Amino acid sequence: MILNNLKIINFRNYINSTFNFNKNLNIIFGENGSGKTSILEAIHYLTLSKSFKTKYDRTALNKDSNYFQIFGEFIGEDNKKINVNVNYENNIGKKILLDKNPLEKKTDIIGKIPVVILSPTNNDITLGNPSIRRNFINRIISQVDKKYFQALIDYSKRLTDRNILLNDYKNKNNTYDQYFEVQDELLVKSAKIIYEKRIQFLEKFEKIFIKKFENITHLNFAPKIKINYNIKSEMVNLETVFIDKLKKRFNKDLLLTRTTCGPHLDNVIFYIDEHELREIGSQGENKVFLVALKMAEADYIEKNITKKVIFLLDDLFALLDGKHCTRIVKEISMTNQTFVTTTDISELKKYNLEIENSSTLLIDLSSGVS
Amino acid sequence: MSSLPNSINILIDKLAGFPGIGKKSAQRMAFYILKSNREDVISMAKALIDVKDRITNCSQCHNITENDPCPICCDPKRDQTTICVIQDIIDLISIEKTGNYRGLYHVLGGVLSPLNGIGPDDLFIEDLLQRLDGVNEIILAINPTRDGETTTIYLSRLLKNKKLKVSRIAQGLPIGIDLEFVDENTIIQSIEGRTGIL
Repeated sequence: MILNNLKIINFRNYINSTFNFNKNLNIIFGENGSGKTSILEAIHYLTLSKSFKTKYDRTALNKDSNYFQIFGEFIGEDNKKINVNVNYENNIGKKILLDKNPLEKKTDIIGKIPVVILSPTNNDITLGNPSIRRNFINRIISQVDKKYFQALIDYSKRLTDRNILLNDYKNKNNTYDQYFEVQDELLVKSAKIIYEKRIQFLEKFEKIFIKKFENITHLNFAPKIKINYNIKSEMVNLETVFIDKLKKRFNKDLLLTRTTCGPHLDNVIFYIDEHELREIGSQGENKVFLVALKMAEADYIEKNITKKVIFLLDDLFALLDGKHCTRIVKEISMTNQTFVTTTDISELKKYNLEIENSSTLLIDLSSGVS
Repeated sequence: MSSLPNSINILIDKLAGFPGIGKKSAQRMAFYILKSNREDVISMAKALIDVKDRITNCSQCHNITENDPCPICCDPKRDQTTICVIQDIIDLISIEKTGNYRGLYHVLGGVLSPLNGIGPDDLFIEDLLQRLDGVNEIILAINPTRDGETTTIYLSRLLKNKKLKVSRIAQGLPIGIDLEFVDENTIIQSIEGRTGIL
């Protein structure tokens, strides 16, 4: 997919602005506060129904207004135009229109136009706690596999049910009975789907990731992704193994009133040369890893939905040195429409990124928002 | 509200307790009652009391009835060897409308739901196990929700080894619909639960 043009009204610093974009590389530059990231934020709204910066839509309003509008014209692989329009008004809320038809659920827009965003807030993926990495892979698999998505929802609801039951049983009978066993069997049913699909995913994803990693860096080490499965077994035995473990831990779980085994505790670990990235990785290594993960995410999604992903690279230069950045931008924009924000384009020039040709568009915001 | 007489305020509060009725609707209903003639209001009040006084639950299947056991349980023309287990009375009405099922029913009065604090003892499960004499087949027709699934599986465990034919109703596509309008999970389910035709 390609974003052809964008019109934003009363959004952040913008009163009423229109931008036309290049199908390859778009470099948005200007000083701090000049409105670079707001353009990416607007694109994020059009494709994922929300901001990547704020939970509250009203914070994206221009300070003198009580509504904002975003219009985008996308062009699909089949050259068909897709118009998306996001409207937000104070006290009324947000509406999303796809080709002028209002969407019943705002989230229905997700997946229509695939985007991958890389912003300084993503640093958590390599540096933060395990749940962030779990969410990262859950989100990728869910986008291409509805059965996995449903299994995740089922599992999480059944897990909540189990924990409530643990609390009830603690105060009542304390014994593992048939009713509890049925609950556990159903929990295991969703767990099995999650386990199976995570294994299949990782096998494909790691290969893509390693290739991307080698393409973008001269750093000489071997990256690896592993999932430390909380419950491991041959696929055919998984149900029995998991049920046994749940039974064995019943008394312990009862005391803690939570479930201490299952795929909700799977740990996704990134390695460089047999060492855990989180423990020994430098800032730079973490960031190269992160960029390669995001590129692999895009590639994985593209392979499964046959649509090209749009890349949003927010302040890439804050993450990495000029040499790496240039290489990454070149690599990505060769195949995908890419939006880059930066305060300084001289860095890009220094490393011979050909910015004065037809596949690159410079959007200069240094004269202030129009 | 304080400007209204106390008796109408009480009525509004009572009406607002109905499912799907908010304060504003309750207010409109209360004023409609106020404007209605006395005979209508009395017959309405009588209808309310009659429902409470005359309707009981069938001691066998827990359907609502004026006579215990209910007409379905008493009907000699119905197949007394088959019981269809359902969540609520409203499901019984749906199945009866088809005129296609001639066995008996058993109303559970809900589904197992830890989140809502409903366990096996809160449903008419024990009663079902008590009435299996002379029964050959149990059809589990509980709604295919998450809690419904739990209930179906739990019941199937309890009915195991009782020399009964136990089945559950099919899950999948509604009749007369185009695939393009069906949600993804239903399609996944219909493909997984496909039936052979040759």
